[in-house]
Amino acid sequence: MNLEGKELGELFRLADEIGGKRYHRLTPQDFEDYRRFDYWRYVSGDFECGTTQESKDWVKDHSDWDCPICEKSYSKTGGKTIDHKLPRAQYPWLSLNFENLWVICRACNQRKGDMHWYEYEHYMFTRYPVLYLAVKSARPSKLLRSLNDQTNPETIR
Amino acid sequence: MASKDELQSILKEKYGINKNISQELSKEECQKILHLLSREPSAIKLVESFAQKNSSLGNKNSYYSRMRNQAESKLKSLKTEYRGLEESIKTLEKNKEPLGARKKQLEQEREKLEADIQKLSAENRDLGVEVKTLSSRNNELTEANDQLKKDNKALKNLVDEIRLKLAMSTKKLLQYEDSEIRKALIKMFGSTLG
Repeated sequence: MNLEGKELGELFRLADEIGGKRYHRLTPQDFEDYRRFDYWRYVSGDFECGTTQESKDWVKDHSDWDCPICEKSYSKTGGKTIDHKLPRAQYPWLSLNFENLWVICRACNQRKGDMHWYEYEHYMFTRYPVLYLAVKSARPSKLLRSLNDQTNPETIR
Repeated sequence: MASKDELQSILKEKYGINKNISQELSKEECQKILHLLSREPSAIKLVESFAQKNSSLGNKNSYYSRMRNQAESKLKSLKTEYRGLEESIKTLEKNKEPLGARKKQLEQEREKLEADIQKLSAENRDLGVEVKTLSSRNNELTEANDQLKKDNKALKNLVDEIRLKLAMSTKKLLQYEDSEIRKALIKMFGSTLG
């Protein structure tokens, strides 16, 4: 790849493109890890079968009345959802790592989408600066540091 | 006047002399014997002894005759059996040759199979080594893959963090008054940092 003469914006665009790729081969273990959350969250791992009591209890224990990002009542923003701070499609080994999970409202979850963490922070900083501090305080620093570990991916199984 | 046969009958009835013994005597001699026996008890005793011995010999003779017949019968059956065995031996001898050839053929096949087994065993050992090597390489690749996916995400987050810090620094710089710098920064901010 020839980077010479490219503008900063182009370099960032390339970085986004490469960072969004899965450089590793998606292994059966990755898929199993990815599905681990579904089996915890949904009855028989199937969205249409409803949520499990265990995950409902977890949501209840890890949330109050308002979304930690927008601070609006869940009842006005589409209800509670469990979000993966580091999206499980990109970080399957953190699919059921509870340090990676938090409860946010449906609107904030949809806004966050599948963004990587700093990408999300940057997005919020530039577009919703008022909400940025709330997002920053939720930063999964320990998990982000674990990416630099020279050991196997940290997982809770 | 009694006939020879009548005299022989008397000798049989009175003294136990069988007719086949007295047959060799003439009529006169039969008469003389009868006369002698009527007068000589010792002769009677002798004749009775002869008769008894003769009877005993007759019984023995009959016994041996039966035994001989049995032996002959046994011999006959043994001969038959012997002939049967000879035939069997001939048949076996006849079959021995192709069986020998078959045995040789089977032996050759066994040796060939033995060689095949040894060859397969060697191949199996080689494959075992290969499996170990591939397994080891697979483990290395799995570890590399695990590391690579983390590195990829770490790099992506690093770039995003740089971009975030740049956005923050730029925003701070925008607080200054210089309009030219502000314009340039706004342009850069808009084109690179969103």
